[in-house]
Amino acid sequence: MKKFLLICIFILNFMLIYSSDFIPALDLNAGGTYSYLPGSSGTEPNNSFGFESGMAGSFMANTDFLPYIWFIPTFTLDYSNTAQPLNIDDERFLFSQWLDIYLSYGINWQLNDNWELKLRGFYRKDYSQQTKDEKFGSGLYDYIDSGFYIENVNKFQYYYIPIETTLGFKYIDRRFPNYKTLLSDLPSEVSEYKASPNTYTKEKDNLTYAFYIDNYLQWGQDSNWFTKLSFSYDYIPYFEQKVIDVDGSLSDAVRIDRCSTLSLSVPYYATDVSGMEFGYDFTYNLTNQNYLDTMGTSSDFSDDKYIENYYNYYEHLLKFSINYEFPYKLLTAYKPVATIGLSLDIIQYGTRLAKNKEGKYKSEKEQDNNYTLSLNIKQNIMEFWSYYITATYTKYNSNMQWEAYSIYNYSYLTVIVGTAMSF
Amino acid sequence: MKKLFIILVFVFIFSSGYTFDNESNKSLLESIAIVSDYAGEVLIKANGTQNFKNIELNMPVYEGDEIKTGKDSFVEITFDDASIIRIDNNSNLIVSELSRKNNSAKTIFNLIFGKIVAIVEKLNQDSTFEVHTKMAIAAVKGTEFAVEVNENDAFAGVFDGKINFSSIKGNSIEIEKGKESKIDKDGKTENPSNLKRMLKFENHLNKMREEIKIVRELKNEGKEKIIQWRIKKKFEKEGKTEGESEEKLTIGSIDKKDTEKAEERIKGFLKRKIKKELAILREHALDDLKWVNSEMKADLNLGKTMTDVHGNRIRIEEYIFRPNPKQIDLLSITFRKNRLDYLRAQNIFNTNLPKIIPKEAWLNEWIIEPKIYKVEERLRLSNTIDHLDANTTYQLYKSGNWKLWSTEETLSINDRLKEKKTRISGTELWTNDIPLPSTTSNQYPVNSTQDLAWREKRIYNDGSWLELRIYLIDDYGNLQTNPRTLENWLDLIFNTNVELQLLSSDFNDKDLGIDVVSKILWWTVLNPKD
Repeated sequence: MKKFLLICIFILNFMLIYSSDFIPALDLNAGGTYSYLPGSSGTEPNNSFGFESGMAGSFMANTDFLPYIWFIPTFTLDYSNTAQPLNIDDERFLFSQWLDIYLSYGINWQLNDNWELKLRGFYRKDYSQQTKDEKFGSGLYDYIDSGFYIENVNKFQYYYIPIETTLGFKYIDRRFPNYKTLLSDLPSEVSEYKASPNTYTKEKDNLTYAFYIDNYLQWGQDSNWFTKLSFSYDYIPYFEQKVIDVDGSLSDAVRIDRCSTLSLSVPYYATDVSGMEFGYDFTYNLTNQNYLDTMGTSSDFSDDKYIENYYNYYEHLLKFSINYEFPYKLLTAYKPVATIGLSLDIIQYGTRLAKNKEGKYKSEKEQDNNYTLSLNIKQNIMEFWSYYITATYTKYNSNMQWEAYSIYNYSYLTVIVGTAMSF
Repeated sequence: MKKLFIILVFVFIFSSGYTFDNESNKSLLESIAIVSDYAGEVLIKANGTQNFKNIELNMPVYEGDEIKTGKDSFVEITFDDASIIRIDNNSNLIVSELSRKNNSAKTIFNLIFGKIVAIVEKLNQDSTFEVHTKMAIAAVKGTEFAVEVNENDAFAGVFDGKINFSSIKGNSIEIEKGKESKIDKDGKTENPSNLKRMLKFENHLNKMREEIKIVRELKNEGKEKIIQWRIKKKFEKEGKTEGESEEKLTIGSIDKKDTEKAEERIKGFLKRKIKKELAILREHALDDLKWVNSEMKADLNLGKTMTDVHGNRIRIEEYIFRPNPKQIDLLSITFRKNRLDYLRAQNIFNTNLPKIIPKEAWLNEWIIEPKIYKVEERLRLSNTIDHLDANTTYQLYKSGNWKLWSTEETLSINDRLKEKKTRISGTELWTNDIPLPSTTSNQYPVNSTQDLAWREKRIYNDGSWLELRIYLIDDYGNLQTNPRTLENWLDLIFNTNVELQLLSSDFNDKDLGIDVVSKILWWTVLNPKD
């Protein structure tokens, strides 16, 4: 990794010395957040203040001797300590800190004006502190992604319809450095379980092989209507996680997920700023991992519930948003822009059954619904400097009523007031 | 040190980048096509944008740009090889392709409607210069020609050289110098005839020829010379002279404003491109994040991770093992506050177990003799320092129905036997072959008589003791009390969890003892003292 980084830095500096065009871009934002969670039966509502900030920097540069190759490194950093409603009960809010660092480096090779190849290597470190006893920087769900993607971008016209097609392949190696199974910490007195051939340590670590195609088209040369149609297929084998057999024991096979997503969005631009967009995403996840629920009994397995393909689900995501630029300027020399967004996210599990309040399985499959309404107002103060106000109301409901470990039915409001700079 | 190194690298990268920023001026000089003259209202829409803007002198023209001319307007575009086109009034044209690579040049226009006049420098074999209309394509290799298109027909006239004029349906004709032809919307071609309709472009061509002559001469002295000559010409046309300007002639324009605008436009185009790259990257990053979130959600669903009322994380994992064909074990491990407790239940049967164990195998009484039944049960509760073992052996006995009787029960703390009970076969009498606790139990509520909490303490003859504490608590960690109303009863039924704690004088951990949590025994209160 170090060698790779050094080679990248060397190429980058060499290229910069000979660069003929250099275009930098830098986006910064920071804001205060207010979160509000209405109280459920018998509990007081919760509210809290937090902070979030983000930074995204990049540049593109080419050289005289390779004018068709653009070198593009990027660096993004996001931090938030907005209160999140986790599975805590009497104090539904928990201050969780989240820091995400994403670095990428690669080239765009313009073979001709209508054909471009993109190659990117990326590295990501994601830190999250989700509970009070968790130390920031060594969280259970911290993870590291490394990988690359390669994209082939073609622009062409089909009966006066301009089309841009992107065909891509992405490879991700994902590691959770702090997540290891509790089994691996067992003392020597029960070491026979650690020695069992199918036990494992790194439960979450996996690889992703993603194939995707995006088509972006304009409905005609002069049309303000556009359409984006995408399809992606992710093949995700786990390094160690073993598949749970029908009797609850671990089999020889490792978990493999296969996730397909079909997305359609139809944007309409009345002007450069104002417009609207409809969108629909359909995701179908297939897994070979199962689950045996022992129902909390250790010496009577007769009540156990075996659920095959526990992670199988269909997801329907409907989106609609309107962007509106106000016709007048307000206090500054720029017009405010409002965005209203609505989304409905429905996850239907293929085999997972919902539970009632007593923790007993119902006959119906689990379905989680998430409704989100958001309003964003943004106005430039100067050409590069703007402020924004965002309010997001999210309502979750589910036919899952057993909330001993996690909450499934609640609503949540977040208001962010912030400022952004774009160079 | 490592962090400092990374920071320095980024500072260097960005500072080096800004050092070379001025180099972007080169784009203007190195652009393939530049607006060399215009008059009237001429609008341009850059590729990837929605709005048309007024055209500027010396503005670079890029692939994908769309140009519109109004009444009494025109625009001339000069190319790097000194070819030149004039888009006449009331026209609409899109620059479909504009590329230069090695020795090949590709220039393709899509003339939606209107008129275009072109003088094309002789092209080599690998190069293309074409004008597409919705009915026809005019392809040239070096010539002077004009194309006009309206709703029904496309016309082409040749003033020098020849062109290939083909309909989109595949019909093709060659038009030579001094001839013109047309192709209608049905793809029908007309035999070339002498120039007549297209003669109206002759004057424009004469002017363009003059200009090309100068451009070709100035070309040897560099593009900057050409740019300055154009500005001078434009100023002269507008009644200004070079001397009237306070500014010195600079790249792109005598007027700084023009240069800045042109530069801004180039930068704007590239800026949009880099911002798009950033947006794509963010999309990738968000997609990846979504997967991790759904994995965390699944862990919550499975009860593998949870947060207690103090905001601390509890992790629970359950495993089932089959160490031999007659045995099935459950291992439940709990981790919180850097301590690990586990429960291990070993169930041993009389015979080899099938893959799916029938429900009858777990019963204690049968009408007919069972084929599979449990012969031993070993339970261990441990905090990895202290452990408590409770073992039971069973025997099948026929007394009316078939029943499973326990024949021996033992209880040990840290491997020291504290209790042992055996059954004499066929009778229900118990014998005690080791000293029993002197006080067998001491059951009383923990805090008040209203609390649903109990503890039982056993004191053994060797002075040691074992205490079992059981708490009924709600989902918020509060101790349940005796229900007084129907609502209280319902609340008790739906919102009760069981806490179990073992304490012993023999334990090394005197505070918490063993806190083994099976899922149903979710420990929301870590320390009862709190």
